[in-house]
Amino acid sequence: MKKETVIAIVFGIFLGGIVAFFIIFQSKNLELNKNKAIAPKDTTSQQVPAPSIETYQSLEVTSPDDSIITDKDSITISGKIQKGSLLVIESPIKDIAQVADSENFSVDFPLTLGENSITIVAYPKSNTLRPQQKDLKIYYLDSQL
Amino acid sequence: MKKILTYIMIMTISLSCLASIVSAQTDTPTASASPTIAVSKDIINLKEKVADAVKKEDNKAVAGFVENKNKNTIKIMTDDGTEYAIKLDDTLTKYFQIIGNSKKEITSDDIGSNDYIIVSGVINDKSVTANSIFIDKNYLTFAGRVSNVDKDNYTVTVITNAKEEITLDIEDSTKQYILNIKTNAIEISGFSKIKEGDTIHFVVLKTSADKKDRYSAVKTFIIPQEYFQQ
Repeated sequence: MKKETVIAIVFGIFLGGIVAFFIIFQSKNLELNKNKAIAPKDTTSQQVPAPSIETYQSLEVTSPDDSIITDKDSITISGKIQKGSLLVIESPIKDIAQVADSENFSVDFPLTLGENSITIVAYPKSNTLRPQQKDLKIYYLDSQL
Repeated sequence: MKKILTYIMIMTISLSCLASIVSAQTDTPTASASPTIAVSKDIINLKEKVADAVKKEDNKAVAGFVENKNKNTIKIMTDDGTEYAIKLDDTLTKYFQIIGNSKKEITSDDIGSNDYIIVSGVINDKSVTANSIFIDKNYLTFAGRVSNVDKDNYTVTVITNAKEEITLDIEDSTKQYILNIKTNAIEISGFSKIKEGDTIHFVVLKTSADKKDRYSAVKTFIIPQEYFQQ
């Protein structure tokens, strides 16, 4: 291969590389502009409060798990609830009713030997929202683990 | 010189074309590259979850009414209609009956059809290798709204939160409570204080696997409708 040919090829690759870089960079920018979410540039629009339904804390029971076996005669029921809701926890041996003063609740609840069917209901302050219910079965089996 | 220029032109054009093709396909390789990482992470997560689930399953129990029983197996049906096959072991499985807040040891012969049993052991899908079996009572808890009060027959019809209609017989033995809407304290109540539209929590005793729409109430707890109008 002649020296000129080699130089031409190297130079060609170099130039091609520059063009390739430019094309890739441009096409990425183009793609970004195409896929960018349409949002006004005005930052004040971000201060619009979200609809209340999105901020509503639905009833969550984080502990205990359903169908769990315990060897203790009481259990701590904890979870999340909309602040101000009436929390009712019901079992065959105990009823608890309390207004949630925060978004987290934690209640010590007694158990009877055997199966404990427990219903947890959150009644929202507002009449327009429906109550939310969670059911648990906890087995107090007295050191049979 | 002409030849050199031609080479440069050809190389530049061909590399540019190549760049265009590569750029057009950029998203695909990225998309195919990331799943490889994601999948391996997913597999690790899945493995951890399965391990956790297995760990937790060991600490769980199943309960249901006995449908049929033979020497080595008991078939039960849970409240939600799921059937489990309970495998019995002559040497390992222990049997108890729960009476109030105590238990007494029994034998497998004491377990009869329609008994409500709690089974602890190794749960594997729809079968359980039983370590212990307890005969217990099946109390159910519900919440809903009072749709009708029959003062002549001492019955209350309730639409539960799960949209089931249940008729409750309020007996002399029924423990009745009500929420004091001013203090939020739970107080002893009576049948006369139950009104249509009130919220009610109640406990019933289920005695067979059959689904019923009428029960004797063991306990009721009323939240007066006025609570929600404050």
